[in-house]
Amino acid sequence: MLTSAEISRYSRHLLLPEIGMEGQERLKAASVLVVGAGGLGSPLMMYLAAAGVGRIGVVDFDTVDESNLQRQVLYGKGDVGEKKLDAVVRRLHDLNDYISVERYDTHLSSENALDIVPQYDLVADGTDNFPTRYLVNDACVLAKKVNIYASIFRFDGQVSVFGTPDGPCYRCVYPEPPPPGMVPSCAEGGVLGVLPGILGSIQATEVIKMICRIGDPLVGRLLLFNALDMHFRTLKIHRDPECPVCGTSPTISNLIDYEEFCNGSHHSTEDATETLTAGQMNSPGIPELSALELKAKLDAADDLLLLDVRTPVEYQMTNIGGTLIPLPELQERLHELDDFREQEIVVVCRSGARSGSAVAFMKKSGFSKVRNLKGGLLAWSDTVDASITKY
Amino acid sequence: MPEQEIEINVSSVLAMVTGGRKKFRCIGSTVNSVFEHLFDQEPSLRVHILDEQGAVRQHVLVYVGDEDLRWLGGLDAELNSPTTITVLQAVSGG
Repeated sequence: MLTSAEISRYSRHLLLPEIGMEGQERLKAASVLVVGAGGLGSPLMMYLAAAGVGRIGVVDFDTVDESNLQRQVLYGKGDVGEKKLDAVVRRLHDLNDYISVERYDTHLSSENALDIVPQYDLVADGTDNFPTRYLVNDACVLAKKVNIYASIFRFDGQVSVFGTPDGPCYRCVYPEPPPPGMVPSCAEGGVLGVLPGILGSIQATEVIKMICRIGDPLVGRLLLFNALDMHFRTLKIHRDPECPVCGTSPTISNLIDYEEFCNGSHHSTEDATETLTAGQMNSPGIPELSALELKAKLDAADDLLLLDVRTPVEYQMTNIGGTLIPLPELQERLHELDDFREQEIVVVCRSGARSGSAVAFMKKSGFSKVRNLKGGLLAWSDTVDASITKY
Repeated sequence: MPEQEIEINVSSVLAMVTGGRKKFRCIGSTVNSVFEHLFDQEPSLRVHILDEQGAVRQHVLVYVGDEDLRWLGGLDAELNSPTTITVLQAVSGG
C-alpha cells in the first residue's frame, strides 16, 4: 500500500492508466540489481530511485575519478576521490528516501554472483567490460532473472532485454567475445558524454515496463542507437536452441572463469597481433619494465627508442615524448623502425594494453629487444611524474 | 544467379579501421561474394568480420535487410534482390 505522502510524490505516475496504483505498488515492492555505477548506471539508478523502485542494489568497487564527470552525472566535483557507492547512496536517498539502497563494494565475480543476483527481481547490466557482461548474463540465466542490457561505444549504443523465459540471452546474440584487442573500450576509443544518458534512460524505461508489466519490452529485439545520425533501429534477435547456457541442452550449468573465457582459450593466438587495434591484452610472456625502470634508463641516457602507439589525439592530450605510431598503423609502418631491430625499444600507451599487443606483434616480427611499459602512462603518472595527465 | 548491388553499412567500431568510412557499395550474388568485394575495397575489414576459418566472428552480427545472417543459412545465403547488409559488433562500454 502506498502512503499518503507516496501518493502525492508519485501522482504523475498514478495518473497514467498504464501504471496507476497497481503499477506504483509493483514498483514499490520491486528490487533491481544495478551492476556498475558508471555512465549507464548513473541515469539508470537515478530514474529507478525517482520512480520509486523499492529496493535498489548496486555493485561497484570503484572511486570517482575526474574523468568520470563528463558522463557519470550522478557524481559531482565534491565526490572525486570518494567511493562511488558512498555518493550513490547519498544521491539516491536525496532523490527518494522511501526506497532502500543496498551496496556491494566489490567486483561481481563467479564466486559472489549467484549469492547476489537471486536476491533481486531484475538485473540491469551497466558494466564496462566483456568478462562481466558474460558473467551477468550467465548468472541471470542460471538464477532465472531478466537482464536489462545496454552497452555503448563512441556515438553508438545497444539495448535489449535478455533472459526472459522465451527470449534470447546475451550469448544467443554474441556467443563469444571478441579476441583480446579487437574491440576497444571507451577509455581507449572515447564516448560521447550524453550517450550513456540516453541508453541508461532507455534501460530504466525497460526496467519500469517489466516491473509494471506494461508495453512491449525489448525481448527478442536489439535496439541500436547512433547519436551522429540521430538514428534508432531495432533488429530482430533469436533465441538459439544451441546456446550453451539457455539452449535446449545447456553445457554451462555453473559460472566459469570469465577472464579466461574473454582473454584466452578459445581465441587463436594470431588474433590479437593480426588485428592490431586498441587492446585489452595482458598476455603472459610479454617482456615489460616498470615506469621507474624506464625513468632510470632515460635518466642514464640509455640508447633506447620510446614508441607511443596511442592515437594522435591521445598523444596531443599528454605524452612523455617518443615516436608516435598508432597501433592500427603499426603493421603498415613497421619498416620505419627497421633501423631499430637490434636496439632496445620501449612501447607505451595509456594503460599498457595496446602497447602489450604491439610488443607481441613486434617480437613476432623480429624485434629482439622490445619491451612494454607496464601500466602505461597511468603508472608513469602515478610513480614518476604526476604532471602527466591521466585520462 | 544474377548479381545484386548491395549497400553495406558497418558499425562505428569497424569504421575505426576504414578511416571512418561506414558505407560501401558492393556487387555479388551471395553474402560471401559481396563480402569478398567489400574486402577488395577495404582489406582491413576481413580480419574484423571473419575468423581464420572464414566464418563470421562470434561477436559480429550480420543482418541482411532485417534478418540475422545466421538464420538465413550463413555466408552462402543468396541475395535475390538489392538490399542493405548491416555489420555490427558487440561493444562493452558502460
